[in-house]
Order: sequence, then structure tokens, then C-alpha cells
Amino acid sequence: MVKFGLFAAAFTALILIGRWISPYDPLAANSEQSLQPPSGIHLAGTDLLGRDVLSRALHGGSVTVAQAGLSAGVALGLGLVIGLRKDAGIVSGCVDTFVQGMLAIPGLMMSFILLTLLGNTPISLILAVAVAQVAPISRMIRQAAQAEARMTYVEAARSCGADERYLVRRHILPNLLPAITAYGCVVFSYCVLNSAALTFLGFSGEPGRADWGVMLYEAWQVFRVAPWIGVLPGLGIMTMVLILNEASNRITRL
Amino acid sequence: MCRSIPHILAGIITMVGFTAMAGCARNPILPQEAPARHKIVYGLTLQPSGFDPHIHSSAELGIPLRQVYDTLVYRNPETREFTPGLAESWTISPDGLIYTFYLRRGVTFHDGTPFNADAVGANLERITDPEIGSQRAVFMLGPYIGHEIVDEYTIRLLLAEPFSPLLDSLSQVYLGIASPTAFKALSRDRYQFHQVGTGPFRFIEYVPGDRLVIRRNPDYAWAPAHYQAVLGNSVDEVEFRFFTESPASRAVALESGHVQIMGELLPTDARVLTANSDVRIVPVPVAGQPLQFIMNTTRFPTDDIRVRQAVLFGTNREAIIDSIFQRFSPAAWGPLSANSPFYDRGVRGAYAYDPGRARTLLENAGFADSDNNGIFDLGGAELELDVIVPPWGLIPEVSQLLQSQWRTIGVKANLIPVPSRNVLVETVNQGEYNLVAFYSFGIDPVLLNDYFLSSGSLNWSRVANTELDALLIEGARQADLQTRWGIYSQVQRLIMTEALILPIRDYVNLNGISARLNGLTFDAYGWFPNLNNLTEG
Amino acid sequence: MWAVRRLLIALMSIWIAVSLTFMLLRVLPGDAISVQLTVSGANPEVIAARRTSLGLNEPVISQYVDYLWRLARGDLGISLLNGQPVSEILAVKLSSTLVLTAAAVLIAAVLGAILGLLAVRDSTISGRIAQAVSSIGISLPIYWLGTILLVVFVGQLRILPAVYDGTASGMILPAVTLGFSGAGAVARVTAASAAGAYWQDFTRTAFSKGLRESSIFFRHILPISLTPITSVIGLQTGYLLSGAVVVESIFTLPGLGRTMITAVLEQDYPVVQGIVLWSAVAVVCVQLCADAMIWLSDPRLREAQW
Repeated sequence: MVKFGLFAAAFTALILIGRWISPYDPLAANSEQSLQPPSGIHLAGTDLLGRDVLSRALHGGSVTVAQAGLSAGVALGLGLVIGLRKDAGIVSGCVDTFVQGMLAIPGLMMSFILLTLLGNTPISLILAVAVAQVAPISRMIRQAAQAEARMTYVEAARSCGADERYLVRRHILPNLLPAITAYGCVVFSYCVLNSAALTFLGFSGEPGRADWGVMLYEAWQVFRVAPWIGVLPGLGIMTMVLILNEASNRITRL
Repeated sequence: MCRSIPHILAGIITMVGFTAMAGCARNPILPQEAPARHKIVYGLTLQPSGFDPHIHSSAELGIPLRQVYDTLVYRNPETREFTPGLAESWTISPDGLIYTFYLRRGVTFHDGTPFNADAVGANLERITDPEIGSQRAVFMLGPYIGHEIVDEYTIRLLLAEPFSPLLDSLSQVYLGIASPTAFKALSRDRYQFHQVGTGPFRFIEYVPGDRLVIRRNPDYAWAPAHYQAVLGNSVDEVEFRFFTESPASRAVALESGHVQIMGELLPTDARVLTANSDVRIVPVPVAGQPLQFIMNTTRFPTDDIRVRQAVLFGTNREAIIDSIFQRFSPAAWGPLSANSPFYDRGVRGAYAYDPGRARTLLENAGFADSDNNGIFDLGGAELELDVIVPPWGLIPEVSQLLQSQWRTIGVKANLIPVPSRNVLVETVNQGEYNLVAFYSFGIDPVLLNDYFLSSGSLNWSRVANTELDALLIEGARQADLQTRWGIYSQVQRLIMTEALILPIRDYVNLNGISARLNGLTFDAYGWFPNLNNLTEG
Repeated sequence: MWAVRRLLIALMSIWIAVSLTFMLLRVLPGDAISVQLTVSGANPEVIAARRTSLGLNEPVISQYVDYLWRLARGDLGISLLNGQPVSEILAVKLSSTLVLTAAAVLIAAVLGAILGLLAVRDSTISGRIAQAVSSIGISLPIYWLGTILLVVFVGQLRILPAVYDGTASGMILPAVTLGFSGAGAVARVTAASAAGAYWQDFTRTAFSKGLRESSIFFRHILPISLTPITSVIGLQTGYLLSGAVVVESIFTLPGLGRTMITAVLEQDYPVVQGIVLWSAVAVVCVQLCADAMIWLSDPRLREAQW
């Protein structure tokens, strides 16, 4: 437990302070330095446009976390609102059917259509990744909340005259919180991987920005000439996803 | 497994429903024959939306279909002069309104239909039929109004006004001559799956997104002069495959020996492959426009010619070519690439890299860095350029280098990435851009008309210059080659004086070819291979 | 009653998915044909005439009604770009995507279960390795894995074909790439449930009786782990369908994923709608199936509102 906590904390710290310890400007292209292998000057080498890979990776961490975090936040927020809404009524029924409809469109396909619609910007990338997650999240929360609502203590509170909103706020939500947090970590990791996949399919938000997904895509283009470019962003994404998954597991076990 | 069972069921139901369709994928008109002895796989790099040359517009469709169809005239790949094809000779009336073609005798289509003036007439009728909805071929005919069949082997094409690019159009696969029996027997959308021409290869099958197969036509005896005789080790079957979304996979496929010819390799991969003895890298310059950024002359700040000139002076083409294009491409200086026949050498070096001059031009235009942020400004507005960046041709990488080059002359570039040509055109139509990367290929300089006529459909520099208009209109009508050359020289210089475009590099297609193959040449356009002369071993 | 209600909801979800896509696509101003013609140098009148003949100048609502009416008669329309019937495009592309996802599900299930069961005993070397491998499966971006496999097995070792030629060997790399990323998740769940099974009373009783470990494993632990494995495989299928888009691009498979990408980018509306319709039907069928199983297995849920 301690070991994992320390590791996760160290990784988070590295991401947070990354942009202050990076040796070069991550966006400064210099065609004379194109595709330099790792050396004393460029510890992790340079990419096709001569940018320092280490600096890009150090900057990219916070960008990737912020982007995926915002996506996950938007998705969870919408998912909670939809999932914990009052049960009865026509509106609720409509929302339910709508969620069913959204669930029927594969996530990547929906993101793809949205990105074509909204344009290829970092913000639309965040939204497109988020929207694809809303339906499954709200469905998961709803099922959990319904199971919880049938617990005896909730029934007891209800028979004492507590209104539904109070029940949700006071009993159901707090009890679901660990499960939602655990699920949130997994959603977070999906957001990291999904925005990387969308970058691969041509939606980078903005060409060349310092983001691990974008870096990995650039590395893929010159994979055979300069394999070192992909190492740092690749390890970064893997570590991040693993930490999130492990965190989710540990929360569940608690 | 519960979730996957319905998927499989749905698939089975759909597949059973369409088994009949799969059964007729092979061309039923042609007899089956012995398997090919020399078969190769050719990697295509675009997925054409459709494969009917009369209807669809993709350049990629010509790579296989150039082998299936003959055209009335050909261009010699070296001299680029017109040579006889299905027409043995032709005359043009003095007023330039009537083209008379004397057709070759004894030619038959792959399905046995005889080739004659009626066949040519039927093709022209098909191309101009509104029901067909031609996306390119009909526009290539220009002011064509009809044809006249003089006798079985003589046909006249009638024009409403002189149109000098007509022979150029007739030499391209989009106006290839198809068997009237075949396309009349099939609907508009079916014909592309069962195409019949007169060319050195016969069309065997096309499965969209998967493959297109052609096989040697043993009866081919009417080749143009630059085609060579078929030998025992000539390649007799070619299977085309699509390597569209994944440029990095192309080199792998070529190197593994599963693909024998691959176009549009990434320059970095081509550089690596030059060390591989199993593969030859064949860079082929493509005639037409270079990789260029069109500058919007109606929007601040590129409405000021000094800003446009500063952008030109502030761009280091050599640096871009050294890194991104691995020195495989020459630098471009004007609206036509250096290997285009109408190229004007006068534009060469006119805007050589000179950041000092760029800054001076901007200062003369009233810009100053009043807030000391390294970016020029004017009346509170920063000198920012909105650049529309499509995903193809390494344009995103080029744009990023431009971004950092322009920063040193005090210009900020905002890159607007667009995922496809459709979104690009829509973004351009909204008008919120300063530069947009777009270009077309072709030998006849009439392709400049769409871009620089004030009424041109691709007039994205939004130029309205009466002198330029007059020159371009005359250029399309003028029949005399020398006069025409003079007109388009003036056009090229005018475009660069007005600084309407930022040319970067001439387009060079990096083809990778298995070292076992010999005799691969490309036609005058550079994009289309001539597979007739291809031999193995 | 439950079944009828559920079936109605299923039909409505398909209708909503299709309508949502229809409306979203119409927000974009252009269409496949106009752009094609602009680039060929056609003047605006020609483009307008062509749009009218394709019915694209009609009000969106009447286009929508027309679309639903055709759909009800089983007509999915034709591709704007190449005029092929959409149903035919689906039929041709579906088989490759189905083979790919089915093979990937199989790999994910078998590999995931093996890794998960090995990983339970995390003190052993094999357990550690299994944990590491499943971690990589979860966290490696799918196109990175695909590229590495492509370069190693096709480029360097040259033991597998670079293009899908319709044979099984052409499907190995894509299926492994896709299946491996699913296997990670399956392994995690398997490990968790098998670990739980180790602490069940009946397992301890079996151990105390002195039974061999392998027989305890096959008689007690494996069966109890199977239910969660099945459910996570079901969940993963949806993600695998999304992953198929990426894998088809890397390995140039002629599947629905790539077709979808091109169709969206080129704004070939009927094709996009056809693919969304197919996926919606597939996903909804899967959900019906899952709901039925939950309903059968947990009587408490039968009283639920939905």
C-alpha cells in the first residue's frame, strides 16, 4: 500500500512540476536538430521537427492529465446527474430511452462524428471523449443507485417520511461514493487511451502540441527512423493508466 | 460470450442475405483462364470514393485504370507531346471549334465489342449525361457541345468556343474509352465493378476498400509508341491494395515482400529504405502545382501585400525540405512545379529566405512590437495568421515548422487542423482564414484557372485582378503553343508579384519498388504508372 | 409483459440512435458531392442542380421522414459517393469486422482467464509475470502495440502477411492486437473473483480434506470465477468494436471501422447512418441479452421500475 502510494505520489509530482524542470521549449521547432538520437544535449533525443523529446514529455504529462481529467470530470458529472435523477415521470422515462439510444452508438464512432462537427480543437476533443462515456457511466450509476435504494435502511428512512432528494443526498450517494470513485479512476484511464486513439485517427486537437497522445502519434510516424521518440510518452501513458487502475482496485477492496 | 452472440447472428443473417452479391463480384463477361505466372501487389494510398473514371474524380483511380483504358491520344512521357492512341491522327479547325479524330482500325474491347466512332460517341454521351452526374470528366471537356460521326472511323468533337486543353483532357484516363456494350448493360453504379476497356490489362474485380485486380490482355496489339512489347517475364496480374490511413505501415508492407510497388512512402521511411538492397526508391516528380499555401487577400492581415511578401521572405524552404522531406523534393518558387512544361524560370529565387527583409516589410506596413511580446501588432491587433491545415502530404509537420520560422519574424500562426477535404472546403467557405494549403496536379496550366480566376471555384486567395482574369481566359482559348507559353509565364509572374501563394516544395511521389521488378515507368503526369512494360526477375 | 416493455425500449433506442446521427450529420453545412464538384471546378449552379437531384436541398424534416419511410421498407439508401447500395457495403465489410472481433473476444477470454488464474498466486514467478502481462494489456495504447507487432512480425521476422488476404494468417496480428488489450481487463476480473473463491468456506474445506490443489482449482475455483469472466467479456465486446476501428487502420483490413472513418470524413451520410444502424441493432441485441440474464439471475431486480 505504502509502496504504491509513494510511487503514485512521485509520478503525480513529476507531472505537476514537469513544465518547470524541462530543459527546452517543448514547441520550439528547429529543423537543423531533426531526429537526433539521445545525447548529452538532448537526453531523450529530438523529434522530426527538432524539438526536445524530454521537454515535450515533461510538459505533456500535465496536458494529458488535464485533458483526460476534464473529459472524465464532464462525463462523471453528466453521468451522476442523469444516473441519480428522480425515478418517476415522463421526463425520466424519456431520458432513460435517450441514454439507451446513446448506448447503442459505439463510443469511438460518436466521438468521431462529434469531432467532425465541432472542429478539431483541444476543447472539442475533451467534449467528444467525455460524451462517449456519459451513457455507460449513467447506466452504471443508475443500476447501483437502484440496488442501493432497495436496501432495508433506505426503505426504513423512506417509511419515516424522508423525501427522495434527501435520500439520494444523505444515504444513496455517500454509500455509492467509493464505487463511483473507483469507477471514475477507470473512466479517467479510458479517457487517456481514447483521446490517444482519436489522435491516431487524425484528431490531435492541434498539430504538434505537447501531449503524450500527440507525441505517441508523431513517434509512430517515424517509428522506424527514430524509435526513441515514443518511449517516454508511451511509458507515461502506460504508467498513468496502471496507477489509475490500481487505485481503482484498491478503492474497491476498501 | 453473451454479448457477442447477437453480433455474430446479425452478421450471419446479413451475409446470407447478400451471398448472391458476393457471387457476382467477379467479372462475368470475361472467360476464366489459367492462373497468372507473374503476379504483383501494388499499394494504393488513397481510397477513391468510386472507381468509374467517367464519374469519379480521384487521382488514385487512374493508377489501376490507366492500364485498363486507352485514350484517343497519349502524351509521350519524355517529350510530353501528344502521340496517337486510339486516334491515329487528328486535325483541329482553324477557329479551334472542331476537332476531327481518325480512329485506329481493328481494335476490340475486352468483351469483344469492336471499337469505332459509335463507341467514342457513346462514351461522350455517357460522360455528358446529367443522370450520370460526372464529378470530373464532364468538366474536363470544357465548352464541348456535341459530336458528329463522319464515318465508322472518323468522329468530330464540336466546341462552343476554343478550348486548348481539350487534347490534354482526352489523353487522361477520365476520358478513357469504355465498351458501350458493357456500360449500357449495367446501371450507372454497377459499371464500376465490371469495367471494360481496350487497354493492356483487363479489369477482373473490384471489392471496395479491399482490392482491385487487373490481368494482362493477351490480344493487346494497338499500344501507343512508348509501350514496349510484352515479354515472357512480363507481369501479367496486378492486385491493388489500399494503404490509406496508415502511412507508416506502407514501408513495412514493402519491406516484407508482400507488396511489390508502393506509392507515397514517408520521406523518412524512403531514406531508410535506400539502404535496403531488396527495394528501390523511385522518386517521381508530379506535374502541376507544388505544395502551396494560398493566401487570403481579403482578410486582415494578409489583405496587405507587404504582409504576404513578408510571409514569403520569412519562410525557409530549404530547412523544411532538409528535415521533413529528407531532401527528396526541390524547393518550389511559383504556382507550377519545375517539371511542368509551362514552368516559368523567372519566379525562381524571387522570394529567397530573408528574415531581415520580412521584418522590414512588416515595419513598412505599419506593424510594430509595441507590447514587446515578440509578435508584431498594428493598432492593438496582433499579427496573427490563421492557417488551415489538412492532414495529408505532411502538411501538419510543414505548418509547425512554418509556425516557428514565422515567430522569428514576429508573426504568430494559429493552426486550424481539418480532418478531411470536406471540412477543409467548409472551413474555407466560412472565410475565417489567412492561409490554406491546397493544390492540384496536371500538365495543362489551365488548372491555374480554377484557382486564380476571380470566378474560379477554388479562388481561395479571393483575388479579383482584371489583368490576371484576362490572361487566364485567353490562356484557355489560345491554341498556339508559344503564345500560350508566354501567357502562362506572365500569369506565374503576376501571381508571385501579387504574392497570392506561398509555394513550398514540388510534389515528388516516393515510390518503393521491389528490386526484382524492372521496367516500371510513369506517364507524363507522374502520378500514373505504366505497368505494361513491367517485368519480373 | 417485461419482455414486451423491454423490446419496445430496444426499438426506441435504435430509433433514437439513428435519429440522433441523422440530425448531427445535418448540422454540417456540406455534403460529399458539393465538395467533390467544387474541387473539379464546377460552378455554383451546377452544384445546386446536383444537390437538388440528390434530394439534399429538401428541408431536413422531410429528408428525415423520407429516410425513416425508406428504412421501414428495409431500404438503407445508396452511398452519395459511389452509388453503391448501403446494404451491400455493409454486407461486404461486415464479415471482416465480425471475424476480427470474434477472434479478439476469443483471445481476450482465453488469454485473460489464463493470465488471471495464474495471477491469483502472486507470490510465484508465473503469477508475477501474469500480472505484469495483464497490466501491459490494460495500459498499452492499442495502435502502439499494433505497430510494434507489425514491425516485428511482418517487417523483421516476415512470418505473417502485411495485408489481409482473406486467410487466417492475415487475421492473426489484428486479432492478437485487439484481443490482448481486452485480455488485460478479463485477467483483472478473473484474478479478483478467483482470489475471492480461495477464501470461500468450501475451498478451505476442500484444502483441509487434503485434496490436490489442481483438483480444487478445477472443481471449485474455476466454476465460481466463470460468471464474472463472462460478464466482463460481454462488456469488453463494446470496447473491442471501437478498438476495431484503429486496428483495421493499422493492418489495412477492409472492415466497417475504416469504412465508417471515410464515410464520416467525406460526409457520405447514408453510409454513416447504415453503419450506426447496424451497430445500434447489434449493441441493443447484446443489451437485451444481458438484461435478460440479470433479470433471471437477480429476482430483486424484477421489481425495478425500468
